[in-house]
Order: sequence, then structure tokens, then C-alpha cells
Amino acid sequence: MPKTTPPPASTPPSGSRRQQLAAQQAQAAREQRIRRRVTIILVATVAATLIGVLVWVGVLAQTPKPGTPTPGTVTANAAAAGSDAWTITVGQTGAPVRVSVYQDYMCPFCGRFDATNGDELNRLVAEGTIQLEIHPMSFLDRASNGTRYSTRAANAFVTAAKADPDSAMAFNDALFANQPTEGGNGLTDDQIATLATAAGVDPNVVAGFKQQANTSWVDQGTKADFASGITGTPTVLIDGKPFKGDLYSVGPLTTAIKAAAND
Amino acid sequence: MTELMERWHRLRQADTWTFATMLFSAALSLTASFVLSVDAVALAANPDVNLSCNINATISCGTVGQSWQASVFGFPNAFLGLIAEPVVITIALASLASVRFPRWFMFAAQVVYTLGFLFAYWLFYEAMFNIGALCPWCLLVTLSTTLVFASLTRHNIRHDNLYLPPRAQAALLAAQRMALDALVVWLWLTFIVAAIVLRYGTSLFA
Repeated sequence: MPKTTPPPASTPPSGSRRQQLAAQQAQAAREQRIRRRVTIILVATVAATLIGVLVWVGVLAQTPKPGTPTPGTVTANAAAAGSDAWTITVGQTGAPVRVSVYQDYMCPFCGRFDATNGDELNRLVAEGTIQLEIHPMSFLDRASNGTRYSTRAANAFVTAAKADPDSAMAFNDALFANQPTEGGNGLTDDQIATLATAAGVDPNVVAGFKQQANTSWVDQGTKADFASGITGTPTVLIDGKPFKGDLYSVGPLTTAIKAAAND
Repeated sequence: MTELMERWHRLRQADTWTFATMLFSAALSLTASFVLSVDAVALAANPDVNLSCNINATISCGTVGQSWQASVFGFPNAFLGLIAEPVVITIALASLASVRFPRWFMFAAQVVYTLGFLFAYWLFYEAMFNIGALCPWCLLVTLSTTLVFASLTRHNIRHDNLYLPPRAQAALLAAQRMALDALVVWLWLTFIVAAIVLRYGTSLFA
């Protein structure tokens, strides 16, 4: 269809207009050529990336996972096995109530909990009212500038508790009493060792901390705890049921435990 | 083959395609913002809550969520996504229903979204080099923000909404006709992924 608008006065003669049209067509053809090339590059690189990712996922899936450590319940004072395998249990077998504490040595609220209720729990253990299960966790490794303080502290605690159960809780309380700032570098291995020795852990056992023999125990335990439905620390269970009361004052927890003991 | 490529090109040039991708990306972004907002509230209640996206020391939204960069304006950044993305979704849906917004409106949308885009990449930079951890939902925001920005920009160039000088406008239009916009987005995303892998390497999977 011919154009209806009359050409402006300055329009060049028709020959030059034909040239213009030819130039436009050449331009369009060039654009199409480039577009095709770009499209081919895109399709090829996207396809190559997809294939690469698939191959890589396949390789990952076939790589065997490193050996997993065997779970072991550490029982002091000949206590019975706990509710899951990754616990440190203290207290008498016949104790009527089982109290489980999920904690991370980097977690400030765990420190507050231990400062307020640690003595109470130790007393209830000594009285024979409770069997205390400690679940040392390490997910706050992210909060120690890459020094993995949670893992190092928990490894030390588990190592100490396995070898020398009687001083385990004193060491636990010392770790919380000297808790480093969350997000800092954590305590050094030497500082942890000093605390352990002061808490009465056998020096030969303390010397073994640096072998990090229980780091994968702690890692597996943390995963198992989250898999069992724990969502954060501190979490306290009484006979397997979450304690919902105030963890940061003396009284409510003891009352709840006493009530469970009288059931 | 050629015919297929031309058809793909026409599809990409169509407004429907632009707004469909914009709708999809904005919905992704809104979802991620929502999850991040919920996480921010959970973190505020208990800093030691374990979020589902804490996978290892590198991929950890807890670490990112507790940084100062996570609430630059005094509230969690994710709230901005909750505010802005529904607007994008509305624009995309209305446009799919053939509503045409005035030039100044689309220009304003471009300006605001460009600010959001820059903010998203500032956060990405901070997470990469200063916080030292990445969070999966934040990366989804980075990706979807990029896609929304790309589709909005493509549309605004196509309809000359950006008040550009004629030469620049013509050059950008020509670039779109040559599918260079798709190439730029693809190269950009490849560059981002490569940067993450180079920066963190195997610790992503530790």
C-alpha cells in the first residue's frame, strides 16, 4: 500500500529513497545475522551449562560419603542409655525424671540458662531426682569467625565426659561461666584446656582435646537433634516433653521437674 | 532451524512474554522476601534459632540475617520486597490484561526498580565479601530482582519510556533486535555464579 502522506519538501529524490530502503534492508539483514549468531551462542552455552551441572551432580551422587562415627552414649554413674544416641548422660539410672538439655557453647541464652539453672540441675542430679542428658550442639559454628568454637568446645566436653564423667558437669559450667561473645573468635584451644584442668578434668584427657576425636560425634549429634525436631537452643525437655516455662529464673523448671517426679 | 529462531525472537519481543517473565520473577521475589521476613522475625525472637536454610558455615541465612546489612533502614530489608514486589506483580498483571500505563508511570517504575536492583547487588556484594556467608533465599532475591529489572528495562526501551536521546534509544532498540539483551543477562548471571564459586569453592558443599 502506498503511503498516503505527501513527502515533505526536503525529501530527497526517489533514487536516493530507493537507496535508503536498500540500506534499511541491509541493516535488517545484518541485525538478523547477528541475532542468529547470538541465539546460537546462547542456546549452546545454556545447553553446555545444563549438561555440565547434570554430570557434576551425577559425580557427586556417586562419591561415597566419609565414614560416619558410631554413636555412643556416655553414661556416668552407670546410668541407662538416653533417648537418643548422641548424648552425655549424668545421674542415677533409677532417677524418676529424665531432663534433656540441647545447648551450644556459643549460645548466649544457653549461658544464661546455665547460670540460672545449672546449680539446680546439678543438685537434682545429686539428689537422684533426675537423670540429665546433655546434647552438645555445634550449629553456631557460624558465629565464631570461622574458628568453629562450638565444635571445639563441644568436642572438649564430650572427650572429657567420655573419659572422666565425674568432672564433666563442672567443665560444662565452666565453659558457660567463661562464655565468649557470640560472633567473636571464641576461646582458644589453650583457654578451653585451662578451664577443663581447673574444673578437675584429668590432665591426660585434656591433652587429648586437640586430637578432635569427637568433632564428628558432635556434628552427627547436632544433625540428629535437628532431625528429631529441635529448632534452637537452649531447649529443655522433661521426660521428652518440651519445657515451655521460664528458663532464665530459678524455680519454674525445678517446680516442673518436681511435678514430673511425683507423677 | 532459522524459522524456529525467528519465532523465538518474536516471542521474546512480544509484550506478553516480557510481562509474563516479569510476573513470574516478581512472584519468586515476593516468595523469597516473605520467607526472609518470617526468618527475620524468628531471629529477632531468638538469635539462636536454627533456620532451615542454615546448611553449613558458608550457606547460612542466620549469619546473613544477623548482620547489620540485613536491616539497613532499621527494619529487615525483606520488608522492602514485601512492599515493592506486589506493585510489580500488579503492573505485570494489568499489562497482561492490555492496560497501558503512561510514559511517566513506567519511567518512575524504572527509576524505583533500578534503586532496588542496585540495593540487591550491594547486599550481594556485602554477603560475598564482608559477611562471608550466603543465604539461599537472598540469592533467589538477587536472581529474581535481576530478571524483573531485565524485563522492565526491555519493555521500557521497546516503548521508548526512558526519555533517552534519540541516538541512544535507536541503538538500544537495535541491540534488542539483535538479542543482545538476552546475551547480557546470560553473561551477567554466569559471571555472578562464577564469582560465587571462585570466592567460596568447595566450602559451599562442606
